[in-house]
Amino acid sequence: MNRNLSSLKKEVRVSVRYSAIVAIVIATGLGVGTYAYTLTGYKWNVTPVLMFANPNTPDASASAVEAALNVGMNTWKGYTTFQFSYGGRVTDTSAVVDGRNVIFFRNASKDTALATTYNWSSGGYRIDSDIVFWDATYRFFTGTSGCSNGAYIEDVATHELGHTAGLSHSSVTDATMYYKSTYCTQTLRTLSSDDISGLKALYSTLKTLTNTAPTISISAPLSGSSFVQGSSIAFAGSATDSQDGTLTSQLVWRSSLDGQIGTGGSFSRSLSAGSHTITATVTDGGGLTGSRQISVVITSTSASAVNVAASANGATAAASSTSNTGYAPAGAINGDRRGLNWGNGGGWKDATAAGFPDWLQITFTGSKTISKIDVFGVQDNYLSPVAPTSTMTFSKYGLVDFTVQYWTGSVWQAVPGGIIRGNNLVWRRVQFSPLTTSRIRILVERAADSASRIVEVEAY
Amino acid sequence: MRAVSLCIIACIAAVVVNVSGGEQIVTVNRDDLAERVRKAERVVVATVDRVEAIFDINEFGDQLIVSIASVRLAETLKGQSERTLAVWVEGGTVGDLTLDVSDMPTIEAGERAVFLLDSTPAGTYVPHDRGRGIMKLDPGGRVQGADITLEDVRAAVRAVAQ
Repeated sequence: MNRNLSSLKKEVRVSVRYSAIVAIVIATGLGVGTYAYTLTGYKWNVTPVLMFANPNTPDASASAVEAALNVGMNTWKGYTTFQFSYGGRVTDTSAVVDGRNVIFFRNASKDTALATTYNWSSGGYRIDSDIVFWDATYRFFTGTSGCSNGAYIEDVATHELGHTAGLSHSSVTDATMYYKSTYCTQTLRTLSSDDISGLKALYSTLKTLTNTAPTISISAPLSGSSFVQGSSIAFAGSATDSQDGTLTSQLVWRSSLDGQIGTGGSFSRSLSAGSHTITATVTDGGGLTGSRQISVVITSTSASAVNVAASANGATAAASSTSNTGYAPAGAINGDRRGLNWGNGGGWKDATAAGFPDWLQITFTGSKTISKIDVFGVQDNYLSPVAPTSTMTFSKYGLVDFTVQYWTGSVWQAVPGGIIRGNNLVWRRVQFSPLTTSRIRILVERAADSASRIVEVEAY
Repeated sequence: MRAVSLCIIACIAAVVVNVSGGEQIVTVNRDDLAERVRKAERVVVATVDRVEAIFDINEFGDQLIVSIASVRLAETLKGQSERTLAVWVEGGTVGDLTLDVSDMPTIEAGERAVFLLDSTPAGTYVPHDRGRGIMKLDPGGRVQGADITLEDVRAAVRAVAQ
């Protein structure tokens, strides 16, 4: 949009002339539908079109600018299904083809232009539109009074948003889309019949966009994984959105203990000791947020190295039932995480095939303060087991649903985070704030096959 | 009142010309033409030989498509005379991606226009006062969408030179 005050007098005359033009066209039978609007050749294929704003300008407060821009957006509403929607504040200062439509002010000038709209299109449709208000030469105002030798944002925005919609300049002088205006005009914020006809020509058929939230997946680390404090942990994930496409680069990762820990699709870092809930979130252009959570446990390097559940440290084990002496409970606290000599003292197996729940109880030598319990199940290759890792999975004999409990002095209660469901890890670690107890219990509620089997239980 | 009435009468005559010519975009006014001719570095009458669009990033960090129009000069009204010039115009199409800029015209090979040009520090030429620096001419020598002729432009340049 250009402004040329010196030509104001001329414009008044031109306005009269073009009013006459329309009248003559109709009167001579060329058709009521003959209008002077022009189209850019591109339009949006969904509505509403979301517009963001960087309202930073020395001319008006941010809230006043936002209100003025909303006036401009709402001016185009109600004539067709096409409409704008305000997406909120951003900090963008450049026109970039990134799928985010932004209106911002720039302390620069472009000859006599008040504002310029940069429209990107592909496949016949608009894909991006950014509007620059040239703030160096002109002073901008908001509202309906106080303007002097400047322009109201409401009116300039209405004109430029017409370009965003797909309209080019009109030759009708009282049209909002006429190519220039006068100082402090308030007429552009009201559409002329020519503007409305142009809009209807663009959007006689347009589907209304139903926005859906982004979908997020986390591929690393596996939920339930354990790491030693100080080790570098690789995080990886992705985000997709039906409307906006891939949003992976905009992922924000937060830990329940450490706050924001990273952004984007992948990064590596260490975490503080404790049980972390890791949340990856992203917000789409329509303002909907998607998120996904995993849990990881970081073992403190300063934690006690004494396994109070080991028979070597005086603990004893008992069970709800035992298959035979080769599967005695004592085999589950013998200090061997692998399950060597399975069936001959390598671990515990219950005697009630397909009957759940089963339990294995470990009694310490008096009350102990513990903050971590490790439970090891049977590896698929139980005849040649190896040292288990935090990511080793099973498919044949492991524990699927179980609860890690402690004795409160009167009842059994799950330790914090001790209710495990849908497990497929050979080694599950539960870490919690320190608690004092004399006994712990593994309550097995479902296993990969009909029997409950535990290779080892450790408590620290 | 009399002045307005006279204007309407005169305009009815103008209507026929405008409608039959299919003109829609008014981009030029006679009253500020002299000022823009005075400020423009060069004023030439030329025909667009070819247009090549490229991706570009301007001094503000804006991602742009810029159309580089190679124009063949038929007449130099102001500035140094040359046979051809390259005029950079914001907007254009690269592959399936099109950028249209609200205050810049599209430009195509074969079009004839009066170009009011400024040079840039990079040595390129851009339209003076954005899109208003390109005044496309119809076969009759009239500026499209305005009641200005090529002869009016020549006269304006002569007046500035005096």
